[in-house]
Amino acid sequence: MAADLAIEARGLGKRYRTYASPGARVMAGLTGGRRGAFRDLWALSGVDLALPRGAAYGVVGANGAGKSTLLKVLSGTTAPSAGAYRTAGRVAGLLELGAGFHPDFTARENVLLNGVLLGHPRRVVASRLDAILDFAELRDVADEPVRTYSTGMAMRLGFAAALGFEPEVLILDEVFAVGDQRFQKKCADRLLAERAAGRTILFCSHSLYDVRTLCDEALWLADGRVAASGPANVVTNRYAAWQDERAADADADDDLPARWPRIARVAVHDAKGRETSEVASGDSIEVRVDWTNGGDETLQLGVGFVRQDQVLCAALGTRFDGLALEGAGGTACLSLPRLALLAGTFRVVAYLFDEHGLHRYHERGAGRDLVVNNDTDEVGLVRLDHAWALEPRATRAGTAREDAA
Amino acid sequence: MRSDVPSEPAPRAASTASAAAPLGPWITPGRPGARALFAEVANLPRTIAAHADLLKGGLARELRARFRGSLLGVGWVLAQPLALFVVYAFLFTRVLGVRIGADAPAATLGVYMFLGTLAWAGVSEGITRGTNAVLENRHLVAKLRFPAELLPVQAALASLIPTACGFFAFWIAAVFTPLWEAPGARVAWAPVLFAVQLLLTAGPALALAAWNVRLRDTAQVVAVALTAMMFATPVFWVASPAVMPGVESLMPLVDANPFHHLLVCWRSVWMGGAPAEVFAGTDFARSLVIAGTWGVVTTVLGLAVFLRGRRELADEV
Repeated sequence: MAADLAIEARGLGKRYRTYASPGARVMAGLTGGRRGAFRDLWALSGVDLALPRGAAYGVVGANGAGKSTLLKVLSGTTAPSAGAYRTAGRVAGLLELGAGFHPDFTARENVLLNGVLLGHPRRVVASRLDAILDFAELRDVADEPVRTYSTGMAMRLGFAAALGFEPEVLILDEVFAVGDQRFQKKCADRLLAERAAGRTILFCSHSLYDVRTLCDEALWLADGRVAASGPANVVTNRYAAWQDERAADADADDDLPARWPRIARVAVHDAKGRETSEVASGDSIEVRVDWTNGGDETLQLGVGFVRQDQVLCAALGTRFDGLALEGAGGTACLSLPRLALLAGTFRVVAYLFDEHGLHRYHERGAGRDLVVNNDTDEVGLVRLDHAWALEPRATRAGTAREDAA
Repeated sequence: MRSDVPSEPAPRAASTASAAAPLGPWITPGRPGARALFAEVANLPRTIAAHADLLKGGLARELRARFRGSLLGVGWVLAQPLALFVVYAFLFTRVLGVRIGADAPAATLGVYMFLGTLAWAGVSEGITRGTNAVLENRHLVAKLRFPAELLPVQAALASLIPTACGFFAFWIAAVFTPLWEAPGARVAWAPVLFAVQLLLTAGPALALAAWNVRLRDTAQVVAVALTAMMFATPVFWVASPAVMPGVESLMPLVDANPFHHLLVCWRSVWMGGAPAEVFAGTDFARSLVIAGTWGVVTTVLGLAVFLRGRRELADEV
């Protein structure tokens, strides 16, 4: 069955070497690494992979766990330091938003330059240019320098350019990291279509939801080693559980004074009272915040919803509603009937303030990010309460009314 | 990329009927061995052919960047060297009144230095920019998989532009003014000489670019070395005992300098091998062979140095 593989790796490792000084580097270079002061850091070690053709494979793991290094090695940008790997067909890597783009060149020039850099004939690149710009929705600004683009625009261009030359294997690093939910959906749809067309996709993401929906299998990297691999939902669940555990451990480490007010735990519960991290837009949810206070002052609690791109989408506070936290501790339950947020991944953060809401004592996020899905085609950040009235222009006699709930 | 198979042979694609690409060779750590390195060096023409559009685009961009936003535009290509030429000719014929030989035209020394300056400026600029080519493009090298050896090569290629423009301006001046006799049939050698100059520039540039990534001092050393080399090479002086008697003892050193031979070739193309005093003891064919050999050898060695550590570049830029 090996011939059906798109990527195969055995014992793959990557070592980064840092030198104490330029002199140490020369010394190590001259002696083949026998002399000279340097430190080795293994960003990746002992990774085995067997990726079937046409599969989508997700890589999850904490920051610095080696995800990007793995993708960098497999895309051929950097060489492995141990083990071996091989790939089938043309590999396209999108390792960073707008990687390889020159800020002073226009989108058109950059796509052309990128294409010929990767060895495509100029003629071929030119013939794909319009399709790429159309997919990126940048046709109108295609002749502006890329430095004038927003991060999101540069990301769209990078994504479109990487997909534009029909690679057999597509390697993507955190492509869903930037806002604009609608374009993210377009990317996800395109990836699913590419996968259906037999292309192999390898990507890493902090969004476990994306990994679960797009991928068959997933790999969890911890400290450069494989912590788990297998079916995407099994691996992501194990990873999520580990994240929760780690968040709990982090508690013991914080160096707040013993009597300091603190938040012990933040959790999101669904309508049935079960703890959850995935809900649908319009669901009723409850955010439960366990807090303690060693002192005797009155406290204020705030809960915020922060989207992946660090936009604070909503913030609710006890002070705004004329309440306060008294006593040595308790659980504050914030119910949100009919959640107005539309699709996205949000960090749910609780803050403890002094009684005037000025000094922030402590802040803690829920162990897992809250993934909101929506079944409708609605786009945007929130679904506002609304009603429509459709009135014909010509006759004022009869007025058609149609209300939305 | 290496084709060493660590444990088992690559599975044959024949087992599947589909047209999908089979798994490629194993990519393993470490630097390429002598044989793999030789294969990669020999692969350069193919790499260049596959990326011809990259190099062409780079040249076009270089030309545009040089003159973008200027009134005269590409006109500067001719104006700059022409002005330089006029200054040299005026300085040596009118101000200093220097003459070589009794029968030689008044402008001889001016033309001699002008041609030497043009060729040397190209070599020197190519090596300087080639040395920095990889570091300057670190955003590409660290993020994209492409043959990075093309970066110094491209810098060397672009450095031919000022030289070529200058020679072209001289040609125009020689044909349309009485300043100098129009060059003869030896001009046909110009493409070969450009190729030799390219090799002599690209070879050092490749090795230096690789070293400069690891040790940034390289660029500084190169700047000093190029200045020293400019004076060691007969750019502003004549390596002929007939003109400058003092150089006799230096001749073995001069003869070992490939750039001297390159200048001998260029000068004999444009000056037609006259006056005899200047070209005494030189032989166009011999110099061409020596410069060409040096060019090929330095390019192969430079490329080998570059490719040996090529895969580590992404981590080191």
